[in-house]
Amino acid sequence: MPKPDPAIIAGRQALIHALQRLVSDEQLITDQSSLRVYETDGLSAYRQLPMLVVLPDSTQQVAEILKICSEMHTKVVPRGAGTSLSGGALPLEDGIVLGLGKFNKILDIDYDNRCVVVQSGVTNLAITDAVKQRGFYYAPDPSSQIACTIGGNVSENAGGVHCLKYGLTSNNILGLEIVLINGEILRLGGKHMDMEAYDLLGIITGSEGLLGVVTEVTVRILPDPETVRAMLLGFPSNETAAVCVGEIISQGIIPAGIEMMDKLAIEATEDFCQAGYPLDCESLLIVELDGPAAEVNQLIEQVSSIATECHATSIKVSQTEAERIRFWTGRKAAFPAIGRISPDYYCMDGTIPRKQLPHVLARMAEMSKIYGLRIANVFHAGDGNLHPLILYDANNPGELEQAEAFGTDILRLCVEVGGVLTGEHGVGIEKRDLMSEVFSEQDLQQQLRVKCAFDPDGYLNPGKVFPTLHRCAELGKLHVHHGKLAFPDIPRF
Amino acid sequence: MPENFTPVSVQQIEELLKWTLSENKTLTVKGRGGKTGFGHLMETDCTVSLEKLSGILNYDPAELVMQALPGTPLDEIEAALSANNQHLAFEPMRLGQLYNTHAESGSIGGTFMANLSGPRRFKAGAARDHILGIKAVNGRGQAYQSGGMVIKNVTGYDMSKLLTGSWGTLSIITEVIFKVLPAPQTSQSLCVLNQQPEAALALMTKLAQSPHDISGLAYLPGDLSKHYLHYDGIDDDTSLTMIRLEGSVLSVAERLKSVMRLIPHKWRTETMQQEASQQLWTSIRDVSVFTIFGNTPVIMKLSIPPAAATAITDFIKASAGVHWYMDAAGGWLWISMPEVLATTLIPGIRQKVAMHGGSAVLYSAIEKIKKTVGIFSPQPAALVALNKRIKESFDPGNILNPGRLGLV
Ligand SMILES: Cc1cc2nc3c(=O)[nH]c(=O)nc-3n(C[C@H](O)[C@H](O)[C@H](O)COP(=O)(O)OP(=O)(O)OC[C@H]3O[C@@H](n4cnc5c(N)ncnc54)[C@H](O)[C@@H]3O)c2cc1C
Repeated sequence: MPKPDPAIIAGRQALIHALQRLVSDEQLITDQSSLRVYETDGLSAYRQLPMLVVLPDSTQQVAEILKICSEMHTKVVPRGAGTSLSGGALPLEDGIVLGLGKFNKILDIDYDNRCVVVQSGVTNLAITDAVKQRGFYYAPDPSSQIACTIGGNVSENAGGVHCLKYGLTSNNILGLEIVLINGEILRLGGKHMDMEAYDLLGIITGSEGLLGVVTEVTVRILPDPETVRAMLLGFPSNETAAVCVGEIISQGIIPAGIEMMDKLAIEATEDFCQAGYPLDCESLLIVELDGPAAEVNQLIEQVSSIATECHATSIKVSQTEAERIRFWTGRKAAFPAIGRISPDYYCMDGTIPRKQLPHVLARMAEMSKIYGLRIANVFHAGDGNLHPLILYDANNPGELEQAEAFGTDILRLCVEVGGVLTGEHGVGIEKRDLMSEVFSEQDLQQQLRVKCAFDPDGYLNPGKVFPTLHRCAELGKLHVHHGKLAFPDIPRF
Repeated sequence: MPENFTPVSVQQIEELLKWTLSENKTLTVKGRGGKTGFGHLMETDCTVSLEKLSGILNYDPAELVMQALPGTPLDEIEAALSANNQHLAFEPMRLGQLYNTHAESGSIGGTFMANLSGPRRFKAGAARDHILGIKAVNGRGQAYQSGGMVIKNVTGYDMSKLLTGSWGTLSIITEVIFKVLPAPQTSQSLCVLNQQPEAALALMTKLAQSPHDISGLAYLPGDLSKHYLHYDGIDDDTSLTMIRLEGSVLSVAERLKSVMRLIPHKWRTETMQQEASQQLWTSIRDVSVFTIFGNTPVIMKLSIPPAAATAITDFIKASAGVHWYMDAAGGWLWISMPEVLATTLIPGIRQKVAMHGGSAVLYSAIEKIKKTVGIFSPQPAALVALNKRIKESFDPGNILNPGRLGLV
């Protein structure tokens, strides 16, 4: 992390005084024991107490807090629910945490325009809950949806099991209100589809809290499909299951979701919540299909015959809504289920071209032997987004480091086969130092220049995403060699 | 004498931009020149055309991903996809007719730089929703890349989205990677005759709220529709509310039945002929429905909350010579107007749009009108300043399509 600035830490009292003028005592957390709640996020191997936590309850307050922080050269870490798996919300010793917990109101449910306006601290699931009685839902459904906030989803461009057909957060939001570090409040987009000038919605989404603080989000809602059915397909190996995924898509079928679980994950979840998964297979696919009943039935037949050709050992189709939900209970409980069979686990998030699935799964199995650490796979097979869970015990000296090294090897493998470091969990601090495996110095510099356009002094969430911090003045310098460059020798027309 | 360059490699583009910057010159950037009518008129020292950086680099239908050089003709891309029963789900419009450029189809690079889309927009998104990765050279002459070949990716900022829709003002792109999808087996359209705008909007809303996965909802008032379709026993001035369903044969047949049940009996509904409906959807997509009025040089596109559509059409209906139609379930209004009205009507429309939230982009007009009203609506100062800082972060010398969008 960037080296803490002792002068800033020494100025803590002055900062508290300044903030006390803006917010009530109840909105300002300063004592050690209460600060502990915020010392980590979903990547719990890393911990750090912040200088203080402030919990604004209006956009105006956010603006004033940010203005004070930038005037007092104080770093700000925005935080939603703190479920980030990449350490994105990890506090800084010389920074404050700006918690958006009080931004918990649904502001407008607008069925005519098929959208909902919410404050950024509203949880993902609360949006669907608010509109489901009218037969609507919000499509991106991360497994953490009970807890994670829509603001956090925007910052990580969160996905879920239905992204293959319905897209990620970025494809499902229409508008944002953001506050820049200098206190300026901007409204981007709205209830309409296309925004003018540059696509700032696009660049903010997935920016991990480094560009601005999201205070309000307008999301698109979709009508519930007429029929939804899920299939459980058992396979004799991970490789055969992976081939089947490719075959389904090659035949022009885009299921609402295709999830894959390997033997260890199947056994752990079946033990944990009895979802009815077949135990006589090495690998399981959950395929969900939606649409009009007749179409879904036709697709189920098609997928069944593809699966049979791909050597499926069992095919089970949900007959009732209750059964479909049960099929998913297992998948959704997979992480806690793994938590029961191992004291600790480390969740990875690389994405690879789908055709590389068999190869990468086989290589990971080999690495698991070399590292002597078990690995469980539960992931979004349809879009090639892997979630290998590396099982370890932090109480065994050196095992955490081993798990991290194993994880790094997996991510390098993803990059080697044409994939990327993270599909939906973000870079955070976790993958920060691997960025140069994917990007050249020049690639990173252009990203940092965009950062400078939003936050020239780098006060918003520094130490995350980028391996080295540059000064904006340095990045902005123009090295022009007037009159020294030869006239380019390029074809003319 | 303006210089015209047709680079054949990324290195040549880097070299060209370094030179342009060092010589204090400016560049007009074009793909194949199909969309030069968009934005302010530019007077630059040089033009660079990407037509020689053309070709599909990588296409594996099972991966649902394609990688292409920016100058590849859109027609070539769509033909390759169609040979594999796939398509660009965002249905990019062609601007050649609107801008009289007759540059066949434009380029794939231009398609993304203009963030094009079509009637399927409200269901399938725009070009921005399908871009996965980009390689580009910034205004410093430095090549960089972002994104990749995979569908899900948050490794670094989503620069590809920021570049999409930037109309060549931030960088020259040298490669695009985008998502492709299976094409529907069949398409079937219905039209409901003679509805007033309010009734049509209410019906479109009801259908868009239904689970029947409708992929086209447009409304053509009688002044436009009469030039296209005729149904027996119906006045010449009959409006058309168009409904499109796409998918497998079985699915479309099923959904058609469900949709019919949602249309109140009092409306006369016709199933449209395949060919006629396809032509009409294409004209709607490409805004060529207005060409019946001959030269209609002032055209704007509103993107609005659908429920606000009739408030805006009510506002403009009193003006003579103004024509409009709704697309994307009322989320888009395309408006054509005579030149004499433009400078008074456009600010009025924009004010109205601002009340509901929305955008109002001037697609076509003579430069004098563009100068007076601007390509985009007036924006708050903080937003203007941020857009300007973003432009500078890519192109500090303002050498790429300077002034085209009127942002700097
Ligand atoms: C069990 C479990 C399962 C998960 N499953 C999935 C999954 O299926 N798909 C998926 O995509 N993710 C998943 N995640 C990861 C995580 O839930 C998501 O990244 C989520 O979007 C984070 O939301 P949050 O509110 O918890 O954000 P936080 O963890 O609080 O913050 C995440 C990042 O966003 C920034 N941030 C938060 N709020 C704001 C704001 N309002 N303005 C600006 N920046 C902000 C923070 O600074 C930080 O960088 C899972 C996590 C867990 C623990």
